[in-house]
Amino acid sequence: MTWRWRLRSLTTRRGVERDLDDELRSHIEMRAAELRAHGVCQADALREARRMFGNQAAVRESARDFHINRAVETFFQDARYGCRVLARQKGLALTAILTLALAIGANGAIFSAIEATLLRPLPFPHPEQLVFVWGRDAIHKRWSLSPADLEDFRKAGPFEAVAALQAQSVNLTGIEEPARVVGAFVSPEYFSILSVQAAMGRTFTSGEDDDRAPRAAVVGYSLWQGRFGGAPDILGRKLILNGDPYTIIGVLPRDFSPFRLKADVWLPSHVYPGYTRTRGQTCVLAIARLRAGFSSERAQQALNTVTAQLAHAYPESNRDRSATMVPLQDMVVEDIKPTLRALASAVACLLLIACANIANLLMSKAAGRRQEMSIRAALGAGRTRIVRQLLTESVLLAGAGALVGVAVAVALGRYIAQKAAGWPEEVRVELNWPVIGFLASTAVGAALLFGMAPALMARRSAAEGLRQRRDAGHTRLRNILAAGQVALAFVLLAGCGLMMESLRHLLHVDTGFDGSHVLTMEYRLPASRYSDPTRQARFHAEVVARVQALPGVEAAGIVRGLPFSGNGGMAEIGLPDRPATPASAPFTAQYNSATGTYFETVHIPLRAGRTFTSADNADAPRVVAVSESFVARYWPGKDALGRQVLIPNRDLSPDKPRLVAATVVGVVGNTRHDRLDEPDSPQIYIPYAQDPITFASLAVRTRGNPLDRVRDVERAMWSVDKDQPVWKIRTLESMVDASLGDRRVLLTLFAAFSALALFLAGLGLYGVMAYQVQRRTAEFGVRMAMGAAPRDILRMVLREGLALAAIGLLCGLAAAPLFARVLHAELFGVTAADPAVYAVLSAVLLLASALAVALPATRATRLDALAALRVE
Amino acid sequence: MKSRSSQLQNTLDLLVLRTLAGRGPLHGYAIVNHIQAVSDEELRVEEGSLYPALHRMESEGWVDAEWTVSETNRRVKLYRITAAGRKQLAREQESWERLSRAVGKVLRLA
Repeated sequence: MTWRWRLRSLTTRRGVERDLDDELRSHIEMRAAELRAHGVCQADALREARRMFGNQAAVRESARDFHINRAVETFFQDARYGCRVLARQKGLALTAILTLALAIGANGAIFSAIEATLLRPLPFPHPEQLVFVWGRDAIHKRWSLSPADLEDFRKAGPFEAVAALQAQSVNLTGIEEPARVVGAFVSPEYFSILSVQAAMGRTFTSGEDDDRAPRAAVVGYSLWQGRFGGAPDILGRKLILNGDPYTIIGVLPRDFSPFRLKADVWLPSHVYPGYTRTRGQTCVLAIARLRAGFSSERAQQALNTVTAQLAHAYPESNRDRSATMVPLQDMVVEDIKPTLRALASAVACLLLIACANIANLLMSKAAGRRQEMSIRAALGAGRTRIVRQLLTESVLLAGAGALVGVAVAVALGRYIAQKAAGWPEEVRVELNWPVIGFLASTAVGAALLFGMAPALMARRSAAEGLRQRRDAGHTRLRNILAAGQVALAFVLLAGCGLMMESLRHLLHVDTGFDGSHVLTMEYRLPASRYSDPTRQARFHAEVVARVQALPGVEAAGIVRGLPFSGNGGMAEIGLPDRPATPASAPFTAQYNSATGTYFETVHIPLRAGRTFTSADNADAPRVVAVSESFVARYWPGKDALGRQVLIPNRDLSPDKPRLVAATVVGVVGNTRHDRLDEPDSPQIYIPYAQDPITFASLAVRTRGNPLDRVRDVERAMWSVDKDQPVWKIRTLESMVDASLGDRRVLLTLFAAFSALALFLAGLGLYGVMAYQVQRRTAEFGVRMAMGAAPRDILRMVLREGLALAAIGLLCGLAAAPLFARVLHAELFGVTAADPAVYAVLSAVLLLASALAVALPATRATRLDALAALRVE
Repeated sequence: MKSRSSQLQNTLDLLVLRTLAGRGPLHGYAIVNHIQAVSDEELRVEEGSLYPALHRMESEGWVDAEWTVSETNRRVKLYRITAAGRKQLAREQESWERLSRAVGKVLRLA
């Protein structure tokens, strides 16, 4: 279209209309004049000219439709009219809007989660250049790195900067009660990599990563606000951290939300308690910023070259070592990706069901509007105009649904973000422009989806005009829609059922210990005052003794990594009585240290031999206890007691052997350590006194409610050292339960979605059958007049309705295993096509369908045969 | 692929544009009469198609329109072909001739 024309039609709409009228009138007058010239009389000439011209209104409408403001005007006309229509059919409108609000809202919530995690870049400049660098060795795919190796990485080409980081709880003392804060130990590059400027003061400079530099600390905004009340003179004040004084040199900005390092206080990396510059020891994690123009593939290649060189130069320590880079963005979201995928598929299903439902609703109403459409067609409305009118109504419905859906989306999004523990803290679900755009386009898409069939149907009836009053069909399309809803509902139900069954299996998993009535807490002794292992061991033993003496306490023990705490890991071991393995695939076991009392505290059963006693101290011969799975893996069918195992040496000096020998004195039961669905892995326990560390988890078996004993246990701890904070005070039971948290949230959502889907599918079936019964009133009348009993009619309608449901169910049965594959990660103890689950759910679905069909069926039996015949 | 109705539309465009190109500015009524006369009464353009077509071509920029007073002292809207319209005409004419040549060949040889 030319701009001039566009402009004119925009500015003078009335003018354009008058213009067209004038033009048509002039045409007719000229025709009349000619007719008169041929001898036709005045009155007849004009009439004849008009007749010859044909339908003026249609021409006018057709010509005017090329004007764009006409289109806008048409929309508003249609919208006004649509509002009136919908207002007249409040029931229909409300049902449709509510259904859409739930479906679009659910989609919006899941999209907002996807937007927040997968689509939104991390809040740092050039986030695509940020990578996390993992170390890798023979045992661990993702492991820490040695600071010495980092130095070599820094010299390599691809990195603009590499920062070491580590996190650990830090004891904050010198205040009323000792407290635990989370410390981040970072090298100075950390802040420049993330482009973070201190809100007050400064961050670390390159000289501060050194033992000789004065001890400096940067505090987080919330610590400054919380413990210091936002004091403006905070810079230069002292903090006693792990027993040492630090000077506060800066405060970080409020909105700084660092990846995986939710810390209260930032310290230089070298003060991390496990820090060592020895190349053999890996003790830090790393993030890096790639140089501009370096793709991650090229950077990884360069990194591979460096690690290969290091392996060559330092075979002793680096032989099996390499490093892998993972984009920081991927690190943030990799855990929740499968969950989001499952949820996205579920809500998409839900939206389709909702659309099918509303399409059916509109079509049954459209049958009643046939007359209206025919009249409008007769009055000169073009067919496209009628289609547009109906689509406008659909868009209005969807728009209203989306508006209400915003509330649903926000509420649901909040619920997910709040309940899902695995949710990365960096991402916040919010109602921003991408989400609003998604909601709007979903609404329009849904409107087209559910509005198209009724609109085309109306177009046809408009074409057929007033001649035909009987329903010409569309029954098949409506049946397909109803069956499709049943199929999709079954797919969702199946997903929900499989997850429910998985959860049931998980709840019946034997953890290998008894978490009820067990109170747990963690603490870390400050290295400055407990550098000597003997002092550490003495402290732990003293705590156990004092806690065990408390009233209401049955047993207490200390362990390095409690089950389901996230602590503990794999270690390399040696088995002298087994053929040696290649260094790249050593024997491994889950490594833990514990006091003998720990086993009785959490009821890990002793299968053979003994657990540890106070005699198993640092001076005594080294002993270990192994799990049944350890025996099964390494000495199957043999007696483990008295055998030798090589365990990691506590003494890390380069001249000492890496592994030292210990004797197996006991065999204990297996435990689940990280997840309920994990397979058995070999486990090995070392006496705490022979492997003392500053960190400890205390487990206390109590009579009665474990949480009632918290104050007593804390006081017992402070009676040993008044400056020792404890944290993560919780019951062992709750820790096991928390491991199922995300699963429960997902299951709750799925249950809600599939309940809604089942309800909608039932509603759809009901609608179709009710319509059928109404349409076939006359037929039923004839049948009854010919002697059919009400029972026969009932059976007939039921059979037809259930046939629809059965077809839907069959399709659903075929599709469900495909969908269940998306849930793969969530399934435990069931297959994607579990026959028992599918059988039960099929029964549920058929029952619900029978209920939905029963109502119209019974209505059919109550027809009065004569009245029914009179309907025609 | 072009639908049947759009081919018919193209033919109408072709006739109208050719008429305007040959006869200079005309009003709708004159266009109808001219096509009817030139085609020996074979082609009768429906008013119901003509005016929508004229407005469509105006929106495409193929014709310009202007109100004037005719020799019989009537207010009439005159349509004039534009440069873009002439190009379109050439295109339409070319494709029409190709089509009719092809049809002619088939009729002669088949």
